[in-house]
Amino acid sequence: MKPLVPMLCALLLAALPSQPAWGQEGPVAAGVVSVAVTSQAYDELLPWNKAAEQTAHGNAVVAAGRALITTADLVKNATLIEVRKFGRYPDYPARAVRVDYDLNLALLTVDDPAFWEGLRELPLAKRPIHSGRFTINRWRSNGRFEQGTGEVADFLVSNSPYGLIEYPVLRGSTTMGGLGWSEVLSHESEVIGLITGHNNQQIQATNSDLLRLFVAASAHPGQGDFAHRGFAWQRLNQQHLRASLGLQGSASGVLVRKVFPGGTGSTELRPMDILHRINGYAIDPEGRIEHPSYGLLLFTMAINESLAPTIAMEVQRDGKRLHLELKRRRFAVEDYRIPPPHFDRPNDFEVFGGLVLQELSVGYLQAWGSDWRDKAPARMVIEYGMHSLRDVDGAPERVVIISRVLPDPSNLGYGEVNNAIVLKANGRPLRSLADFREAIRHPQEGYDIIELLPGSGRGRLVYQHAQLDAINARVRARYSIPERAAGS
Amino acid sequence: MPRLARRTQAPAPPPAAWGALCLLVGALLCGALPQGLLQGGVARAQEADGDAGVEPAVVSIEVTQQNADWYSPWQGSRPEISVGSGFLIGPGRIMTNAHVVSDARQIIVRRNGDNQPFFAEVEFIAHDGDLATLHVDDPDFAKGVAPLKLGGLPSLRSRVRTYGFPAGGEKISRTEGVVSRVQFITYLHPGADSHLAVQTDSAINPGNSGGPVVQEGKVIGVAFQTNTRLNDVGFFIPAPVIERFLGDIADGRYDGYGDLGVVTSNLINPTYRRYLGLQGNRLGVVVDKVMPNSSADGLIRRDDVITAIDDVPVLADSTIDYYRYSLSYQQVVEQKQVGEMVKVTLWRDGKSRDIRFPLRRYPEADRMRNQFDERAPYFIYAGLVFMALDREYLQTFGNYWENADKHLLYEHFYAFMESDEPFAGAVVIGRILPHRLNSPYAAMVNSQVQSLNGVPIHTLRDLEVGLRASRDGYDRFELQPGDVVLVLDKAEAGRAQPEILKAYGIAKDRYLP
Repeated sequence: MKPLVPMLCALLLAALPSQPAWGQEGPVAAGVVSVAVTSQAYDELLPWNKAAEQTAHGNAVVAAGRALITTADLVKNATLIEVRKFGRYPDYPARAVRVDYDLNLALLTVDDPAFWEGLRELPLAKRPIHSGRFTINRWRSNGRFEQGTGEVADFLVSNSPYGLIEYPVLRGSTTMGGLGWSEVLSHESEVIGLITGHNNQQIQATNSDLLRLFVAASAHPGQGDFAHRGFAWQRLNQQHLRASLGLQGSASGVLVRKVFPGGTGSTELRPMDILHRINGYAIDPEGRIEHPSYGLLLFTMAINESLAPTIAMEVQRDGKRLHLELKRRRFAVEDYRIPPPHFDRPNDFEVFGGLVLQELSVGYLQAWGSDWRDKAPARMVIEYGMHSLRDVDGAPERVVIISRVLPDPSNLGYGEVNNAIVLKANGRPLRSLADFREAIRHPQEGYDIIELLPGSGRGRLVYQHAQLDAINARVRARYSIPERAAGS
Repeated sequence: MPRLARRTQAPAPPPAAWGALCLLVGALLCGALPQGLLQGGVARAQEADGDAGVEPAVVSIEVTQQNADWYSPWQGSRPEISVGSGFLIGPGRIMTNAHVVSDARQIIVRRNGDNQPFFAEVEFIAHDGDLATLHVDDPDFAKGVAPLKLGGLPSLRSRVRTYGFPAGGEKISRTEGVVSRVQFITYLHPGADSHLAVQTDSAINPGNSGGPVVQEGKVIGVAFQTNTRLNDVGFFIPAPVIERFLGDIADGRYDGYGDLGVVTSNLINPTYRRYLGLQGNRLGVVVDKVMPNSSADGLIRRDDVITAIDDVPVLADSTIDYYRYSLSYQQVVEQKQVGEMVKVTLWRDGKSRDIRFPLRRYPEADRMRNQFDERAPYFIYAGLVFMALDREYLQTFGNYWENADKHLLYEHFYAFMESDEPFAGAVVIGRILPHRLNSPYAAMVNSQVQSLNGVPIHTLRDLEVGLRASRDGYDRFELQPGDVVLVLDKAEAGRAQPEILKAYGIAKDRYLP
């Protein structure tokens, strides 16, 4: 017997009017689509494994060029992305054209032309709104279009949980529940933002300026990209501090304390430079600029105000004012010592004598949960806090860790070294897992010797080199570890 | 959660040390015992188990304590009254726990069933070993009472009895249980020291602290702490630790524990043993690090294997056989007094050798401990309250002080382990007393001072000297974390100093012992 319920559902759906229903649901509904994403995360702690798949429902804005804008968070580690318009069958397969975790934004497209019929490109607001109410728009997984209201609180310069690029984030309040899935904020039928997070009745949203730049950068790759700040700075809001720097009578200026290779300003700025203006905006002693659209905000937002190839900076150095053009730069992977989380690909690892070796990353630390700064192994959190970017004169390096010891006769007595930082293997300093792989090709008098950071539970681990092939095969077999990570 | 077995009568003050929380838990548990509950048939029972004469020697100790205030170091905290136990070990001499009488402002002792108060003074106090002796001058106090004698280390499963004044009360309490474990545990009073302790199911409750644990009429331990994560489990300080303390103070001074100053790892891994050329499978721990300025500095090296200490074989799992117990090899060192020679048998370069050296304290470990009977050092300049980075300072962050700023935790817990240099000390801005001079610097509270006018700062004395040296102009502090600069106009800061001290009710701008 054929099941009746699906047949009845199919008949009912067929009986529905073929015209889009946005006449009832308002014009915004035709510019918002629901996105269903099946994702499968990589296991940070057992890097050869993938976690169970999960399906999440979110939203996307219909943009120019048959593009859909949503959050990167929604589509991370996606194995299947399907979109639905007007909350009704059918679902269309979608693919990610560009995913930028630094911005927590993703651009999707759908190849089937039928999908785009009846949809409406939603205009992105040209100016942020600073106060008043906005509408929250979303499609639910049950096919209902919901709208709620909220109120703008302010803008704050912040960054995505997955990266370091700074941009203005809209903060607001609402009584609408169940948020956090890329809901679309609109005001007078224009998109003003995309919700990226919520906490109780507070929401954070990426604002329309960033969405517009993101679409532009995606449409014209190579013609400008977002940039990282490549320097650390300090406020100069104390009178004695200002006077000691000769800033009496000046109402602007913050102090450069460090530069980081690979970021914007890393080659043009120097420690102890005083930054007075950025893109023509005066930087006040607390590091804020009076922006025509956003009002008073941290000056670092101006770095990504546009995607122009350079950023104009007025700097005081050794008592002289200089006009510098800072080249827009984005950190490359080698500029991170402890890189931000990455998705969509497995983590590198090595299993050696029952030791699981990895490179320390923010993703690994985040495996301890949203409060990882308190819960993750303290020494590793400290390492991240003190030294997450490459030194200005240093070669690229990563922090090699032993994330776990899989008990085996070969590592008897080594069980206490979980979450230990590895300094050397066979006398060679380690700057990467690749270094480790090279080092273990050079045993010392028949032994492989791994040296750990003092305080790691023990100082050294010793293995007999000739036995390691057999040991590694045994460990992999016992713990079901493939030669390569799942999905690699 | 582990807790001390001292009973507190007044509410603990708000500060943050977990020790204070423990006391609060203790206070919750205590309640007045019904009078006479323990009186019937007591004498007959004591004769039968050989404890006759014990009860008269057990005393209750009422202490008014005032802890140092590490958040406002220029003032003392609210006094509180707590109650513990003790016992006579000599004419007018009482043994108890250090935590019962630490930070004491007044000590009153009473004998069992006698309300007559006698004033006592601390004679010796060992915070690292949580033991103390008191002295009562009044000859009437111990008239007719024989002091108790020390026994030895009890056997596993043997029965022990705990005497004391849990939950206060005038009448003594006696509980009975068996020895269930003998091991090294962390002593909660210092917080950073592990010593030998005996676990028993003989009830140990708030107020029992300092009371004797007895077997066949002899004291085999001093009740001192419990663990609320475990049911019916208490701990006492066993006789060998008490004997060591009494031996230490025999010369009229408490010196504390000596330390080899080595960090070792077990050597149970056969491959590691082969790599080191060790014969057999049983002996030796490998030295991973020798602490600078320690007893072993310059004598023991990294990769040496310690196979025996004072001819006691050190087993590969870091233990020794000690009166049938498997204990950390530290027990051999712990029994010795500071200044005594220690013989360490090493396996080095394929040969066995003996080295001898005097055992010394390792004073750099002091900052890891809770501090008692001391005022908190501080230095105030332009409303910035500078303090030493130590455990007490970190505990001002609250009950979960391990979540304090990571940079400070690194400096406190890790930096010295990762360095080949001795720890020189660290100074932090522990608090900022708001004033127009410093209000823009509010975010710099809890920063570490790296340097003052280009000179590295490790101690409050360094700071004092540095500020005195800069007679005019600006004082420039380099701070971490964040690599930030704090600058103050010296003349203006000097003018503001009395104003700030007056506004915040601070009599003196510094306490530098």
